[in-house]
Order: sequence, then structure tokens, then C-alpha cells
Amino acid sequence: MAAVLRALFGYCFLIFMVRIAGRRPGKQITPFEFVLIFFIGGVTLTPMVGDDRSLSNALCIIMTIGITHSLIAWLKQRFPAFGRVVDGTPLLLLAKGEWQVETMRRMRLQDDDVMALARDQGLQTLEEIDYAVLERNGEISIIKAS
Amino acid sequence: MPAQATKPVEDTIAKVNDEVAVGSDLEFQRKWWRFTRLVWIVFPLIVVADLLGCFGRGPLANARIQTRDGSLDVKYERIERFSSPSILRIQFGPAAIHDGKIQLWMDESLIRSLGNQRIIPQPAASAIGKNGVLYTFDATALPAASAFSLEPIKPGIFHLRMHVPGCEELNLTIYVMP
Repeated sequence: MAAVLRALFGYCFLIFMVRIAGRRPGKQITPFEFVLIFFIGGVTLTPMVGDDRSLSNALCIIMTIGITHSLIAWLKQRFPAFGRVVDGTPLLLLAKGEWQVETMRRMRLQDDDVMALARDQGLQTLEEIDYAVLERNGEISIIKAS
Repeated sequence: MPAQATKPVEDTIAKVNDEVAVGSDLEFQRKWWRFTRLVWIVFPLIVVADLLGCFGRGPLANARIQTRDGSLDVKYERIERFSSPSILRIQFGPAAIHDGKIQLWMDESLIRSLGNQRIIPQPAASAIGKNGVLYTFDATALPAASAFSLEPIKPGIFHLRMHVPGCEELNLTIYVMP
């Protein structure tokens, strides 16, 4: 019973922490994010499992996490406001030659981050970008100027 | 096979400059940023509180209590952590020794809630009764001390009573964090 509740709490707390830690741009995880993910995951594991190393405990915890995951996915679909809390919303970084200064500052992004993604799409200068959007998964979408 | 139900595409995603469907919600995001600022204030406070021992394992968690008659002097952790080991040390005073023996009665929450694992040194005898355990230690001379290795088996607030028969009783309040 306690392990199931701990798993439930641990899952929700991890979602919260990852959400608070913020999005970082890029298609691949940097060593910086690797450390965050593995370290938090490892630290969470021990108190979730406790001293019960049984298969039944592991199965119950896995099923709890699976059910919670599905429940959160359903809540996100059913209540868009909840989805915004869990996933955030896309954020405009650049529009028609104007940097969105507040968003860039709050998301701790620099023009270099946008240009890195622009180069990935074959663009050579920032002037060739019409819009840049920080997506919910942390990637930056570039819409080329027509 | 019946065809899947369909519905026409609606323009439900918020647009930027009325041309690119981004779906951003800056008002929500500003609220979220305010919330995260609060979180980044609260988190360091929690970490500092933890370093101080507010959740156990720190200077504020350590406690000491004595009987007025000097029979018992107990050092313990007033804030423990669930399923984590700790030591409760008891120093016996002259009033505790009778005929080369020390008797110590401790109530059953020692075992039932605080998960006593080991007693050092091992008591020469132990007897159960009166909702507790009466331990008897061989003691030749002062100073005499014993240590109880605890590992709480559930979170909560617990009271641990103890006394040397015929002497004043101590009542320890121990908070066990989840």
C-alpha cells in the first residue's frame, strides 16, 4: 500500500520538478540534462521501492505509474487548462524580426540558441527567420521568411 | 468494416499576427513564471531547513533530556526519518544502579513504532509487561551507558516513555518524517 502511494507521489513530484526546471532547447539531451534526469531518477528510486524488493512490489509500482501516466494523459485531453500546467504552451521567441524579450529572458534563452536551430534548417542569418517558437518539448521551430 | 467518424478541421489553435497557428498563451505563461519564482524561493528555504535538521539528521533534530533525579540522561533525535537508522543513547546516573544492576523500563512504542533493532550492550535480561519491556543490565561502576539502535517503521508522532523503577519517568516525543 505504502509503496503504491510513494510511487504515485514520486511520479507526480518528478513531473512537477521537471516542469519547474524548465525547457531547454535542442534536439538532443546535453550532458547537463543527462545529469538531471539520471540523478533525480536514481534518488527517487530508493524511497519508492523501500526495503521491499519483491516482484509483487515492483509490479504494483509499475502498474501505479502506468495508471497515473494514463490518468494524467486523459486529464490533459479532457481539461486543456490542466494540459497547460503539465506541458506548458508553445512560446513565441521571434516574430517578424522582433525578439520577444520577456520570453527569451524568462526561458533563459539567447539568440545563439535560435540561430543554432536555424542553421540546422540551412538558414544562414536571423533575417531569414519569420517566426521562432519554443515548443512544449523544448525544441525550437523555425518558420522561414517567405 | 465501418468507416471511422470524422469531423471538419476547425481553427482552434491561437494564431500569431493572424497567420501562424502557434497556440501560445502568454497570460498563462506569465502566471506560471510567477509561480516558479515562488517555487525557487521556497525550495532553497526547504533545503536550508533540511540542513538545519528540521526534517531530521541535523542540529535542530538532536535533543537531550534528563531526569531531575539524575537517573537518566538521554540523547536522541527528536526528528527521525522513516526507515532510517538512528541511535538513542542513555547515560545512567548513580540513582539508577542497584546491587550491580540497572533496570530500565521502556514502553512498547520503542519496538512497535520506533523499530528498535539492537541494544548495546545486550541486556542481561528482558521481561515484557505493563505495555513495555523491562531491561536489566549488569553494571559495576559509573559511567554506565547503553545505546538503542532505532529504525522507525512508520511515520508519525510517537511518545516514548522510560524510567528506572522507583525513579522519575521521562517522556520523549519523537517525530518521524515520511
